[in-house]
Amino acid sequence: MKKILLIEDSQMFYDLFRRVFKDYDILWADNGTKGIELFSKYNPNLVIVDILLPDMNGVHIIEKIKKKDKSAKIIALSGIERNEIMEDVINAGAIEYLPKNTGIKMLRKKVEKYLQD
Amino acid sequence: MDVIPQELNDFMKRKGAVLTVRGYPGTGKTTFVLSLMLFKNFAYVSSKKNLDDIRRTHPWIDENMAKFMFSIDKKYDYRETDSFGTTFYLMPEAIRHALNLFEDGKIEGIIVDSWHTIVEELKIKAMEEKEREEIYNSETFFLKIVRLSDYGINFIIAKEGVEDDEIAYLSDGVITMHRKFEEGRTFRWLTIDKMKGVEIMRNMYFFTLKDAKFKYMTSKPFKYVGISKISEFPGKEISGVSNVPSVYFDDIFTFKRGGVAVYDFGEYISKSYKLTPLMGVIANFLKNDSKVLVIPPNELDVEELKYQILIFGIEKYFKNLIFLYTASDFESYVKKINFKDSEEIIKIVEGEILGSEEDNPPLVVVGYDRLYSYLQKEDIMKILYALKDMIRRSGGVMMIAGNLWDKDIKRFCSNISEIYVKFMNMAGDVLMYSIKPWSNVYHLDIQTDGYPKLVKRVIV
Repeated sequence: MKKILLIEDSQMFYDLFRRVFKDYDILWADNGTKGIELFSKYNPNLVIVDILLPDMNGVHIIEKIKKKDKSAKIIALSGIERNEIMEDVINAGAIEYLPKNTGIKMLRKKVEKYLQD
Repeated sequence: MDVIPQELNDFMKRKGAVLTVRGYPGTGKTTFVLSLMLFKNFAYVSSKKNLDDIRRTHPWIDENMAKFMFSIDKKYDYRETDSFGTTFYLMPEAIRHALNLFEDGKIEGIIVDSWHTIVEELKIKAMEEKEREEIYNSETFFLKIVRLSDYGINFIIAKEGVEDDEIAYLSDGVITMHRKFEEGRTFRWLTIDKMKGVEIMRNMYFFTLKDAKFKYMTSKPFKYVGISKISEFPGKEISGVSNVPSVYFDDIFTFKRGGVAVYDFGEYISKSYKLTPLMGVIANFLKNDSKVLVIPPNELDVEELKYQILIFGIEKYFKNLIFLYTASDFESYVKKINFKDSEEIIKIVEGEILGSEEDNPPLVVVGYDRLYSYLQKEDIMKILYALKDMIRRSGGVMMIAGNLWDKDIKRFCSNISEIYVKFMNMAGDVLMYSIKPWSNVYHLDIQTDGYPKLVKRVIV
């Protein structure tokens, strides 16, 4: 079963995510430090990281994961829709920047696309 | 920051230009023209004051600069020259000496301060030398200066008064210096009324003469620096102190615990100038593990709040935040509320603020415009009064922020507050003056070196 690592501090979002992607093995970290630990341990097929986390910002997490594994596929998720932040995120190595209010259908489509690639 | 406004900088690159700096006494003409000598090689010819007096009032003038300062009524050596035609000999000796310096490549231009006293001198000369009376006519004298500028010399003439006279007409550039007293506070600004050959991006600049130096100011727009360059907001002590920091305005006022502060934003204040002073205080309380409850101003929606948390680098601290909002969000600090129900608002704030076991004082931020969108002003006053009471009992701080255009609300907020600060947009510049406590007028600018910093300068 393919593994998705969700680094997101909102329990509510995790619950929703787990229900939508029940065919996948979902790993959940509610902060950046734990997320990086889980990445090293389980080497997931896809990482979804929130930009605003209670211990570090998502861009730094993307950079740290990319340092560990250049080929890691990371989607950044955020409630902040700003071009300048999108640029930061893509420059750090994320393959996609999705607003948090992206519909479930779109989220599923994107996740499945990157898991197949 | 540039030493002088861009337009003037471009103008000064020209050769052979005549600039008139005009204004009523005390508007700062002398300090302004002297400040130009700091970055341009100009000779200064004074006709109004003793040079020693000028050096006493402008202590930053060094020996090197003083070598290029001359008094019109003193004798100076000069070398005879044909370079400037016969006009050379019609000039006072101080100017002849300065023209020699120009010939030698030591200066680019001459400052004459001031025209008014030159005219007086000319009148005396005309009386002394009746047969050469015409030479000493002030208008023909100015024409001679214009003619001298054809040799490539720049002239800066400080002139009293603001009339659009022949001198303004003949000059290539005209700057007017202004000073205004309003409610006992002083404003200073200059306007660029004419500047041939230069694109005028803006024609008004506020300036200060602090330490007898001219410094102009502009309120720059907010510039995002990139996440990797953002640094954590440093934070200031709030526990164990009776007055907590206002963060960007600590040298003017602090917030009394149990008290109310009002930030009254005038029209056309850009979002970053409204949110930065608020977010600075919010970030400071969050860093001190204090509870922060926000009834957000209209411009602070959930997305904006997340962005602000990010650019202040305070991700580690947002857990103490309660953000009342019209819709729920994935973030746990967002609490959905019906803003039409004043009782519900009071009840929620009461539960969060008075029900808290925390030792640190709480902060309640009230965005006035948010409440105004949903409630009648009587209800708003009821909420503010109830919140003020809770704040007094909890020893926290309440900040009311927004454009308080309603006179009754304005009066009410003024009555319940210890601090009342007004922000105004004047020709693109953001000025701040506090009504309570009494203080000077400040010019604001935002720097985004790391986290957003509000830089203020008093206009004196």
